[in-house]
Amino acid sequence: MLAALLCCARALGVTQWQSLPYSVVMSTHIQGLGQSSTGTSPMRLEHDGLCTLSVSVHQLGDEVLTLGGTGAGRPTLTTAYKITGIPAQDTDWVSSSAFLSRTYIIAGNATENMTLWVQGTAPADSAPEPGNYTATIVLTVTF
Amino acid sequence: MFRRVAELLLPVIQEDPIWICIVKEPRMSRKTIISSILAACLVLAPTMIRGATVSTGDITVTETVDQFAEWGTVTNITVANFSGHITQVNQTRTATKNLTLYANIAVTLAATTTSGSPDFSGILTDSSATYTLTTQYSITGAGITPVNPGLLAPATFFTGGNTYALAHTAGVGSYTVVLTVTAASPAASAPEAGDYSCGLAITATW
Repeated sequence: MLAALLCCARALGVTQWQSLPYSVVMSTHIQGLGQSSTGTSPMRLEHDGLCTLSVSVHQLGDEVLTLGGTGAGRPTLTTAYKITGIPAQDTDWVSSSAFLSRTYIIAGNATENMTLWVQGTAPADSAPEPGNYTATIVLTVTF
Repeated sequence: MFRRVAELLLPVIQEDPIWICIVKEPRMSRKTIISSILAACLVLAPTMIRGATVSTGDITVTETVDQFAEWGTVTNITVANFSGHITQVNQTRTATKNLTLYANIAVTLAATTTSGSPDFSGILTDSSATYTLTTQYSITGAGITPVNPGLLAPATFFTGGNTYALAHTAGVGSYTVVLTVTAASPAASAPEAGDYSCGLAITATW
């Protein structure tokens, strides 16, 4: 009986994201020079032990808010990220390039309620082309 | 074969505190322990693999930039901007001012006289509001098409129909709008000495 209980207890512990998929839509439109807009997405990670959270993209540049999606020469917005809600959370904005090399160590057996923050900022010396700017990232947990 | 694997695993898992609870259960026979290990291995196999990953899939981020236009820092046209002081009759002095307009859309520019001080309806006037200089204006720049080209007197320059179309080029978010002002002394009379001023505003509409 004891063995069965222990087996069940351990088997129930898994590492997985909940409430997928995630997306971020900015709270306001950019309507002026140098203006920033911020968006968030709640993320829920269930884990049963030490794990590492890392950031990746399908191709370099995907992490930058780009008019009409990824593509060289397309207008972009200065993009920054941060993750909060975990002990190793970011205390300040992280540039899009630096964010790609960020890793977050998450310990224990718990469910983490994290928040992904994204900030897009228009240039200070030129009006960005109007339209929808998109970026795509992937968060991966290794355990 | 499974029994053999379990026997090989036994010394290893005995080091794990959780498994110690299983294998040390006094009432369990060796056969029961091995059976439990085999069953547990099947259940726990996925979670026991170190280096496994689970990803969120694509997280898309979307931001919208609206159409807008705004002026850069605008400073007054001062005496120093003119080509010189007026020192004789029938003399014209010119001042040009490069105004920066940030825009991601085509706009229409139109000039109006200001409601504040100084106003003088776009005519350079002395501090006593008595004497004037002949004043003309023009707006030029790359991509700008005027309804009425050239230097214009205030009566024409500030009328509603006198507009300047600024075309937008994709990828260009900064434009230079050149405002030119000329001040001329009368041909047959020396104007009173002093500073002459007036006010105007240029509005971009889209």
